[in-house]
Amino acid sequence: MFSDEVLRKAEEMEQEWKKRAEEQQRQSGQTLKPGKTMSGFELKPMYTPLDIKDMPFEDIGLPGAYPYTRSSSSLHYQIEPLMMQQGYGFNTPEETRQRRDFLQRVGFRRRVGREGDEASLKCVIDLPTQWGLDPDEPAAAGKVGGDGISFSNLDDFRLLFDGLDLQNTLISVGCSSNLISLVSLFATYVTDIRKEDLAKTKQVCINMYHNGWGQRDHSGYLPENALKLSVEVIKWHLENVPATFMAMDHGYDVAEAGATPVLEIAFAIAHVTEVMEACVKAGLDPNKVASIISGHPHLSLRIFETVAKLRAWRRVWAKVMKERFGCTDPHALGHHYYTGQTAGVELPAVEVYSNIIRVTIMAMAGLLADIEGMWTSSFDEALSIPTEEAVQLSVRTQQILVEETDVSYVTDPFGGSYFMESLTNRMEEETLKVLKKMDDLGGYRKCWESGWMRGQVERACNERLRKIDTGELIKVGLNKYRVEDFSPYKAFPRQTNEGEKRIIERVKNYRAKRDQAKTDKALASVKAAADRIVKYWPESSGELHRACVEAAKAGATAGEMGRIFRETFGYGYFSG
Amino acid sequence: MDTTGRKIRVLLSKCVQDGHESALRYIAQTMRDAGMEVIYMRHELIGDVIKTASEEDVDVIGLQYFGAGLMYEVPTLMNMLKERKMDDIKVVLGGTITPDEKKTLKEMGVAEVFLPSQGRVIDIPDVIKGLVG
Repeated sequence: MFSDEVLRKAEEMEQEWKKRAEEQQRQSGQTLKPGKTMSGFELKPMYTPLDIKDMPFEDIGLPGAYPYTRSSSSLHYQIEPLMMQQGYGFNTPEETRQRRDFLQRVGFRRRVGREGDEASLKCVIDLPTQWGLDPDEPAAAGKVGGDGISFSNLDDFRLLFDGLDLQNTLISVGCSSNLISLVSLFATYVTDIRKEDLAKTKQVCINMYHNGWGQRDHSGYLPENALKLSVEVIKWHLENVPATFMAMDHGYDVAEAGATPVLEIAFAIAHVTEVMEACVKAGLDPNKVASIISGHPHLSLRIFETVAKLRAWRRVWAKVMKERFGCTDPHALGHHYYTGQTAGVELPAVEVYSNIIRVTIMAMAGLLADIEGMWTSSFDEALSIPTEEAVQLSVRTQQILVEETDVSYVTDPFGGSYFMESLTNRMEEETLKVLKKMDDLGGYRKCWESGWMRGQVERACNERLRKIDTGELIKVGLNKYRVEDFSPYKAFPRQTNEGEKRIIERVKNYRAKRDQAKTDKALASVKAAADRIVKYWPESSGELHRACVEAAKAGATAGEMGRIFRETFGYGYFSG
Repeated sequence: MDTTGRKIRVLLSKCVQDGHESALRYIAQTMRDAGMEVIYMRHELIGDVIKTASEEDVDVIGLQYFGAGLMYEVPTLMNMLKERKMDDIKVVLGGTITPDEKKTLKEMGVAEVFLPSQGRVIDIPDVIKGLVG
């Protein structure tokens, strides 16, 4: 990238700089302590052309061109403002709808500043719903609506979605272990109750069947079955809701569980690679699959490491999709981060207003890395469901960054920086090393089943927490400058059991008024399709999701379908 | 170790539905480093905890709540411990719990509640040793 002449001069200048730096240390009596990345390698105090002398210019490239280091689009924020991707939800559909309407009032939109858009409605769902339990199951007791919204039937969906402009609202109805049932209920709501074209809805699908519990402490189905379910979701959406994006190149949760940035990229890519291979077996076109898979990365307070991570991740993605899967479509090769999410682990539960500053810094890192969409955390999320004040501020953070500052004028402003390019290269190298190691260990599935991935995450996590305990890693207000007499923040109140009673009553009424024989027959078809997924895959691929949509039309609840999934696909812990 | 030279036995659990793991796992490591025996489980129903506590003859039950279930499961657990005359076991809690809730929970007989603002896990083993004596 540089002429011999430039490199010779740079070498001379760096030698002179070193002498001056040593002299400065001698005179000041201060010794240089090199900065260290969260991924574990040291940084130099300054960078020169020598640090990137061997890299081809094409690896930096330009926005919107292979290998997409700088951005997946030629023009980005200049014409397509940042997508607002906060999820929310608590208690029952009634309370969550009120929160949605509040967010709409404060200018929360699908894209920042687009008045024609509606507030996105990405539902954070409660633990029983995630698990595929209807609210009246014994294991749901006391947890209904606690950590998210509870819903299980079409009457719940009506309360949440009636009156909303479905064509202009970005919607996500679920995640985790009962995704297919919830998506099937929503599809039925759109086609049978609203009488609208499902293909015109815009959905985010958090397809984590094959990702969640290999890497962190989350229950799931046996790995081989989980993989088939991930493919099932992709196939059904490609056929029925093509504008969906699959948030499954997912690093956020494992990073929250403690993975370093390098592990985050490697595990996400390894997971997507295995799902893509299964999709190919099921007859899907890798260009189409890769085009709808979107990233959900972790944005941390390590600004430069976050930016380098996202640049390296795009480059590794492009190379894997081209070299391993033969993708040629720019949408498949250029990786989109539809939900960069600011790190929850960076937000301590003391002096919580300080977290507004932390979230702003993390959001800034995401913008500087040219992510497509962002979820800014609420400052009080370490304590409770966020208050209205807190979610309003998280919306304001995005609006101020996008509309009051100059960050959206120029794409990838760090592009070409000796430091940023060098750091990006190093993140890529370290990621490829982990991917090679995982290949040597037998691939993603083996690394899951042996517990290798979980072990890596646990080690990194305990090391980080120990450093916070000992003060080596500073958290201002928590382990430094701590004042014990701070006044406690008035957190959002915990849900009472009134909502739980209300939603249990609703699901019971729903079951009472349906044609039971019809529901039973449809659920028997779900069971038959589920058995066929286990025994006759990939020939049976696609049957189960269709059967679930039919069951939703026949009055089945999410938990009734969820029970079949748990019984058929082997549910529990199997993360080594 | 307690006064008889037996290692303090702690049962740590969280609801099986809850994916938050790093804090409890780190606490488990910290307690092991402090010489305690740690039994780590995930419960589907709170009664599962009683069963394991009894089988493992533990001194302490530590539960994590990052959200739902706290004000249902803990009162249920405390009642079950009383009914089975197992209330010599000390119950400690941690997670997203408010100071007001801490007061209520201690009135129910919970031995200690670690609030999210506490910030230092490294001190927890000493608190546990103090409780078990």
